[in-house]
Amino acid sequence: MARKLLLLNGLAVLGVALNHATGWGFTALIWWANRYLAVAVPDFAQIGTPTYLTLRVIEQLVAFTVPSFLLVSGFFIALVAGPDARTGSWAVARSRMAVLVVPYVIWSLAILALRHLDGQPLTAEGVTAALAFGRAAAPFYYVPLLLQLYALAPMLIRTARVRAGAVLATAALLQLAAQGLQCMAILGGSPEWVRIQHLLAPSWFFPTRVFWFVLGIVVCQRLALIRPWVTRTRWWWLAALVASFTGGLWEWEALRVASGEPWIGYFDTTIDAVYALTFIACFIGFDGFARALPERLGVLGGAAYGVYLLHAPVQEVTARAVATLLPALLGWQVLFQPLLWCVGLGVPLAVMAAVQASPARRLYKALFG
Amino acid sequence: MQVSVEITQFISSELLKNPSRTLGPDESLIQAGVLDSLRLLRLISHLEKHYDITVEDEELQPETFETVSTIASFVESKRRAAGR
Repeated sequence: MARKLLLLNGLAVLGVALNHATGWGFTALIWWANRYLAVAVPDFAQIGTPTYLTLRVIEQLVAFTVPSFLLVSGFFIALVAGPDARTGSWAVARSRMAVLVVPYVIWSLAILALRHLDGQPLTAEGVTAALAFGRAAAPFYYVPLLLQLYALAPMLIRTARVRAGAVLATAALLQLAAQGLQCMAILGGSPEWVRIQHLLAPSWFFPTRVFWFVLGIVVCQRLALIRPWVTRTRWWWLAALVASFTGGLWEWEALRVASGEPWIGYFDTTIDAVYALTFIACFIGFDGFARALPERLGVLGGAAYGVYLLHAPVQEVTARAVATLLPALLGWQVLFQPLLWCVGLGVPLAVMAAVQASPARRLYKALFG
Repeated sequence: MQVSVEITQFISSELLKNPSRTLGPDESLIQAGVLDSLRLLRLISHLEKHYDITVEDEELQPETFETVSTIASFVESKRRAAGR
């Protein structure tokens, strides 16, 4: 099971770099189309083209990434909580939070400083909000979210030991409510819904993804029951995986059309959550799935936090550099996407290896966790 | 003893990326933050591969991975059970 979780984390690292590469792909396709075509932007006529659909398929395929990270984190905290869940898990949670916070603050401040050099104003209030809510880079919301979940972990672990079903159902309901608010912000037709969603269910707030963390805790505590059951029912999970993947593609287009807007910003929908659940279940239930993956993927999984923090700014700098220096490449997604994916993984790993090989290796933990 | 040394070296060099970091045999690896979720998973994966053992689901217990000594004892007991 440990090897499987490590490989799942490695796959999630690959997926997260792919996911943000597709984000820049959509930007190039619609908002930067005038840099390589004689069109006005935003060019929403690109929606529905083969390039758009390919990017959507990739985006849907990797919808398992953040749920996988959170499941592994929940599994771990339950595993190491020890017999005294109250003091044991608090000590571990505090230690984990310290390890997460230091690199997060360092890289957030570095990104904010770069943006300031690029002309963006820098205020004490702005820096505080960026650190508190993970606004320095788009994926940084994940760190405040995880810190909240670690803070809740001692209570979740204790409760899940005696009432696993109740705590799992509560977490699922909270997450469904958050996703419902997101849907209403898109479909409600009123700015009031957007305000309510921003107030009650911003991406950094724990209810938006609490189910995955709790699921990790419950899987760890009841592994002897859950793993054989998932293995026995694996073909059902596979059928559900295929159905939720296609359903997720359909749902997104239906949401976009129903919103009346030409474009809606990405968020995890309920069918995305079902897809992520079935993906994880298939990964656990089918031994051949993990066996076919190279061991090096586990090493990548082990470097997940450093790659997660660095990949987004690296991809952003690359995408903007391409848009400025080589705009024709934006029209060749077959080259643009692999470029973003490779730099999104390669540059963080190279930086981590360089720090490890230099006298600065003592700072490795502070920089990359 | 050899297993303890190897485990210490793996944790310092591969997991902490700091070969000069010394680990006491009874230092609490989890509570001190030496082993986090991914490092623990990488350690287990390494033990399985390097010592040709399988860590069963029911053996995933915090006590087993609390210190270098407890990990080494676990590995040695698994190897003895396998007749190695």
